[in-house]
Amino acid sequence: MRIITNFQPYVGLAQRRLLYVADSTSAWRAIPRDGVVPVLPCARVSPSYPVTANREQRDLISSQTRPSARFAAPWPTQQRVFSGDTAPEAGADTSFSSSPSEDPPGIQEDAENPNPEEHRAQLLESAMKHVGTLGWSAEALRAGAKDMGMSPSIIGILPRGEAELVEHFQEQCDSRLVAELAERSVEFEDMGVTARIRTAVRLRLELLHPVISTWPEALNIQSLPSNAPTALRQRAMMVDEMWYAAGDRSVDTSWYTKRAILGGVYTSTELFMITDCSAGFEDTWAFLDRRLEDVHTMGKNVREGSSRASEMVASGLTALSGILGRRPPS
Amino acid sequence: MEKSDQAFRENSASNGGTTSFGYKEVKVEEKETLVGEVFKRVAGSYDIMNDVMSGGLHRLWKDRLIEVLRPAPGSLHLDVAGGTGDVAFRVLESMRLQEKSCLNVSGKGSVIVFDINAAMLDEGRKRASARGIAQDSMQWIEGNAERLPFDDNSIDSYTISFGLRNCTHIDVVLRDAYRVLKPGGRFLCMEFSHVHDPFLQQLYDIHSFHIIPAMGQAIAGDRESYQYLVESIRKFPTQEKLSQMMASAGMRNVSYENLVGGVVAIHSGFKL
Repeated sequence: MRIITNFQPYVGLAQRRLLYVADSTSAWRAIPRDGVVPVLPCARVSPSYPVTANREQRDLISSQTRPSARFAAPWPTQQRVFSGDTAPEAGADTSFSSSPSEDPPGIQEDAENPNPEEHRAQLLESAMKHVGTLGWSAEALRAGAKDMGMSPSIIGILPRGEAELVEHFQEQCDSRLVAELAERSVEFEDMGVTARIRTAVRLRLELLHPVISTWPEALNIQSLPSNAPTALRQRAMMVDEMWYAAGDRSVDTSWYTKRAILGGVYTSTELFMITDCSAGFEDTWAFLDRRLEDVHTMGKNVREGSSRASEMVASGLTALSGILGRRPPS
Repeated sequence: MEKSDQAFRENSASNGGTTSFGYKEVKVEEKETLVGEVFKRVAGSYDIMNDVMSGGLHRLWKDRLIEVLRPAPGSLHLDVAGGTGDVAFRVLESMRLQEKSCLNVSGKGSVIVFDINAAMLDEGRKRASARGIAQDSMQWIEGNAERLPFDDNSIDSYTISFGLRNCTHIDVVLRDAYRVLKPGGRFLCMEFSHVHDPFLQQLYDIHSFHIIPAMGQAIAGDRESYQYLVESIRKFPTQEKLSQMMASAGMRNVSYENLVGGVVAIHSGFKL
């Protein structure tokens, strides 16, 4: 046990880092192609809250980077905005956090020329209306551009094209999930953790109903190497929201295992759902129950086995120290 | 760097004065003729020299440009300084490919090749007929990029590859590009730019100032034209500077992408 406690500071550090990653999805997704922004977000913004900070504090601190706040506080995402006399290097560092009003002269925003970020949001919104018929495709984006009365070339403001459309949809779903979970906080008090998680997963999957026929295509896009990092970050964040709503406040290694396991449950259920033809997705919810049952069984086995396992690890370490000719750690 | 920016700003003023022709200072009115002469001389060996000088890389750069552009099916594309049609053929090909797979395309897209130099356009026309490209899908127009003979808001996408450097007033070209673009239209400029990596820069300098003029002499029998080429690259505004100029011409979402560490940069802007 002592060994594990000694690692606590490191675990905390890593965890804080991961929390930051989970909370800053939108900043991460903004990493453009080669060389445009040379500074990694992690190096640029240090996590400003302690790992023990509660969610309200975290929300307060990171509200700017949450998806729900994205369009309320737009900043140049994929590209640096060039204008005025800002030194380029400094511009790269600050452009993510600075508000549009800080844009140097040269790009003056006025009523006729809204911020490019608004065009982006508008384009994604109008393209969403065509996803049903045209799928998650550049064609849907172009149809959206046409609705806006813009040249189809405007879809170039989304460098990763349709992937950004999928991410936009996922972000919207995630913010809706967060809102719905918040509404259920009273209801959740009388439920067990598994029941809360079950509700959360179901709520999130139900948001996929309108697009379920084209959803395999979206998953296909998200699994491409260039899009997978963002997709994974979005999932990590979503799973974190579910656990938070379920009342998880762990600060040890189980923080990771819980999220990893729920990620697996969610993804496998999602995959089941895309081929589910049953009325009201009854089979999917039954599948979800079976997976949660598996997790429960697994947890029990782990608990039973863990005391035995730690003994084995300890004796292994003793043997190793003997070989190295040192005293075993007390 | 500061000095060349300063010199550039002075040169880009549209009234009188001198401008750079490589490292030489020439009268503003003369630059067009001088550049014209250079390209008249090199037109025949232009494509082979591109291959030799860039080690074939220019093909990859142009492919990358098309990848960034993703020409919309059924759109009208303008390729300025596109003389021999290298970029235009790629745009057309990509457009046709997408038109085949798309469900709701209204009409076929077309490409306009625009160049100041008749000799280069002739080369392009020859290549187009050799490729069996339909007459109605391409237009070849001779003219000055500072005064495009097109209506306002008429073009979907605009590319200028390895051409902006040779224009007398870059700011005027950018403003006119902005004028002809439709709202939502995209401007892309691919141009030799500035290398910042010290090691790469040394290699690049040796290549530019020793190898390229020598190859020009050996293959095209014309050292001066290629000397002008490398010098004009050095006189071209840096990535940041050009991005700022694009922003002041009214373009939005301005960004750039370096290829081979900045030997070439693809600049992108939108009319929003």
